[in-house]
Amino acid sequence: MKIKGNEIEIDIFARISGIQNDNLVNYDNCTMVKDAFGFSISNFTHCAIMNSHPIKLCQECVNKYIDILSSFQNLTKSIDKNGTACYDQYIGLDRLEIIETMYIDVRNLWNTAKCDACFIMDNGTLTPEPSNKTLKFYELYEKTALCIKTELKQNNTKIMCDKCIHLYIELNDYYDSISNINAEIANCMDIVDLMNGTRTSWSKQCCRYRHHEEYVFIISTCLVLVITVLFYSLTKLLIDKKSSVAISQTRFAESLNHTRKD
Amino acid sequence: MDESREELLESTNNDTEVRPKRFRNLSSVNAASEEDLNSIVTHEDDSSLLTSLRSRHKQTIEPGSLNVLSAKYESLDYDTCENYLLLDEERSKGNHYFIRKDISRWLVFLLIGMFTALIACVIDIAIEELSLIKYKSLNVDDNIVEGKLYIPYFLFVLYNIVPVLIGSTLVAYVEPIAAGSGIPQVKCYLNGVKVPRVVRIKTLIVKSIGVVCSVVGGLAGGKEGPMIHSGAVVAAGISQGKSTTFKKDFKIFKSFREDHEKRDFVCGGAAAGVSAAFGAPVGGVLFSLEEGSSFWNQSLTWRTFFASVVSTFTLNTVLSAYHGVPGDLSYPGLLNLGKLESISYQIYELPLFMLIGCIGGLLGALWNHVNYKLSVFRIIYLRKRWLRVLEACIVAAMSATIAMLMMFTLNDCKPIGQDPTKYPTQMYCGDGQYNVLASIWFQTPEASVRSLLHDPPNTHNVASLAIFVIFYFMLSCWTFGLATSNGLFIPSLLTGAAWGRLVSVGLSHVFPSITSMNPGKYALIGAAAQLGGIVRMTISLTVIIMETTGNISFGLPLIVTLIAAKWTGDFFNEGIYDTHIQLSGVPLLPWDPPPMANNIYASEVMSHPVVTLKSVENVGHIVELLKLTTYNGFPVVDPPMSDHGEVTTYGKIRGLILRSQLIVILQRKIFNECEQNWDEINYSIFQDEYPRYPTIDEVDITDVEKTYSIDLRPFMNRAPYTVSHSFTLPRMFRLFRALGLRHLPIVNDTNEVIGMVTRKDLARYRLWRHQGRMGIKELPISKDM
Repeated sequence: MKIKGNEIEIDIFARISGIQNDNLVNYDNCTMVKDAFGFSISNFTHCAIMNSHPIKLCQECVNKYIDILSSFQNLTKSIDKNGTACYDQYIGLDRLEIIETMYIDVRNLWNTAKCDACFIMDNGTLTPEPSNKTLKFYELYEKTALCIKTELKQNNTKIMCDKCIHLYIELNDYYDSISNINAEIANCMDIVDLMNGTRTSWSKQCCRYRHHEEYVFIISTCLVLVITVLFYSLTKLLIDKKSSVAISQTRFAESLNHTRKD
Repeated sequence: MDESREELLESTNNDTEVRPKRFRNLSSVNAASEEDLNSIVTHEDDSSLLTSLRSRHKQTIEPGSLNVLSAKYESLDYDTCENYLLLDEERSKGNHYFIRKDISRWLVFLLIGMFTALIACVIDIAIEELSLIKYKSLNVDDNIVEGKLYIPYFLFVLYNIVPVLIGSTLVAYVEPIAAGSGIPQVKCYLNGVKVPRVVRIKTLIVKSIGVVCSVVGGLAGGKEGPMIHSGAVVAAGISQGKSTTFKKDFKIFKSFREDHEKRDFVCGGAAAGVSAAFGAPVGGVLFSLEEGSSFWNQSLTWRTFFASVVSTFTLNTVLSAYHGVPGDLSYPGLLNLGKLESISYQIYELPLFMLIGCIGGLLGALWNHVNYKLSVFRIIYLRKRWLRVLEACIVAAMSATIAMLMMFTLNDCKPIGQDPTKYPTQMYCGDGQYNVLASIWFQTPEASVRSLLHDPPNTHNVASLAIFVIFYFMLSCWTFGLATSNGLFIPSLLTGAAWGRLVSVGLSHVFPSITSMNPGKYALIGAAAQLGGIVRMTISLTVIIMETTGNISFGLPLIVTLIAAKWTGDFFNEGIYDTHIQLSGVPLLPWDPPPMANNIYASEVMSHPVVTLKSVENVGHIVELLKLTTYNGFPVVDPPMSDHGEVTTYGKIRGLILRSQLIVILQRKIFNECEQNWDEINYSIFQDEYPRYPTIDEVDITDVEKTYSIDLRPFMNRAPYTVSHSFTLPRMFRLFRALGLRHLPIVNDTNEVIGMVTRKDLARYRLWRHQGRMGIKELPISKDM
């Protein structure tokens, strides 16, 4: 509850100061700003760990992440009543740089997970609204998951695979269309993780039907092998060797007699 | 040339009574006929010092022997012919001439660098675009669901065979010299051997198209080796300012029309080729020095370096524009192994690297041996051109088959996105996964090498890597030497990187506590060891690998590895380039004379009766001489004091004249009796005809003209290098190699010409080693190779 109170407090301050100065926000005390930042960091960290598997980092923690962004913004822009910038009191003082390090770590985690891709970006600022692509993907996913669930309850795997395959393919194709296959993380990590899980379970249950008897393939490879062996053995048998004769050289008589005697 | 030889054979057959006379000697080494060989012209032991004889009994040569020299190779004339005309011209030219020559020399090197790089770009872009189309249209995954794997398989085989058919037809029928990587040929050229047709524009065209065809055709070969040859051709072409093929003379760079200048440019061209291929300008310069030039020339090295840097810069500019980042300059070479900046090594790893080097040497020696056996087979049985084309197509089909079978049988799956694959193919993997082997086979080998070097540990399944190594080793060995243009750098690097990775997996099992076993590092060392074991290059290879990986501090491990690989390999056989050079019987002069040759004297080495000319010589005699012999240099002598038929006498040396000069003189009819032809005689009459002089049969001399005479003194080289008959072989060898001579007249105590030493006379003494014993042997010379 205390955290909540602080947030409100900061909000109020922010509004007041916004009127006074566009760039710098005045506070009585920089400690409050610092505390707010600390709380938002710990909030986010907790949330991230709670949603680490299956990964729901982006959708669950987006608000907390936005909090961090704004409170760090506050910290860098505020001045206390003495007129010194809060930034100077906490940041850039020592080598450890705890505040900055924590902030950078959080941002790295968020960016590595490509969470921005899940949400609508408003002029470069993150909003907590999921993007259209995300909504469409979740919609398709829900359909597929429902299908698999209901079919598995009623029938066996084979029938489930046949019945749900069009939904699954639709989902799969949509996923491929919105993601970049050559990147290490193709899309927003929530979506990637959900899709990976779906694909794995689907492949386990349905992919053995990919295998077919490939007689034509095997026979034709054998044919190529036989042709190769035939080529070399036939050329060896049919073509006769041709040996050449060394041509003689004229030399000084004495030296040759000499060497021949040796 | 061949026609004249045939006629020569006829003439010797008709006239078996050819006896050495003063101006009419036994026909040359190259001109022997069958009959001559059967009757060995020997004399009894009481024969005087002055007679000569045939050295060998009839000796048959098995095809594919390494210890034969071919008679068809001639030397280049590196030694400039210092005659009156040249000296006159040099004297009349002032400071301006030399400044202009110097500037145009730099200009030529600039052009060499740029054009070499542009050719490299064209080849690279063509390969990239065509393979994109090829692998996109295979469409394995759609067919596999329906159980029709044979459809992509047939397509794959077809897409392999068609380009290879085009490429190998071009190579086999249009220009056979364009086969292979071209490095042995360039090496021979730089050593001073005139390899026929090696630096012609036709060769360049066939080579460039051939490389694109064979790499798109999926053969286990790279485009890097041929780049070196292309650079050499570009250099030889640009520096001459004319094209004999297109009959176009631009009237520029006339002063570069001689073998000496051309060799320097070819040296720069080869370096520019290396530089374009690997993005390694320093490596290129060192390659040229290691393989080519006989002595260190500071200003040539500097110009060569300039050409290399220009080449890599041009390539970089063009390729970065092609890849959509103009001006970014991050594509320095065709092969880019990626930066390996972070790797470090511990001191205890050096013995491990040495061990890997030894393995590389062993595998390289095995590779060379198998390839040698295959090449011998090809020489003996696959003489017909269509057989060579057929063989190339079969190898292309087999490459596709092996690739498909490997993907089909080994179900090695990885999640998509771990490393960049252009064509992720699912095969039997789950959704969201790709088949690792398919990704290796369905991309250019360069990209596979890169992923082997950079992928994190445990990316590759041990079993699939091991099987890949075995098959790729065999496939690359089988591919090298086909009638297609492709190099062996990339396949060797790929094989080596794969087994290097295996070594690192093995090591981390044995020593689980050591954490610095970066598989990429061992892949790099393995790649270097494998390549070093095959080609046995040392300095330039180290620098090339250092430059392509951008890691200077890794020099010592690379040197240790390459030395171990070279020494281990040399214990068994020679490097692959040297093996192929020996197979074709090229009289290559190595860096040093053979050891234990100090008891061989010039009088034993030289060809004995020398065909000489008088200072003023009869035209008919010269024509007859040129038709009868194949010699290329004739000492010009003073007529001897007495002219008795029975006693062989020698003339005092005055100079040396070349066949090509005689032909030009005859063609222009510069006879003493035709004064009007003497007006416009200057040195450039020889430069205009260079490099392809007409044969003697193409020169039209009337019967009346045959009675005329020629004064050879203004044209002959007045100061040829000569040595005394008591010189030892090593001493002559050093003189010959360092100065790049073609003819070395041997004189007696009174400065009379008694013999002539040429490249083949020196190259035929070779060291043999067997089971701890060694000695010098003399190689036979064959006409049919």
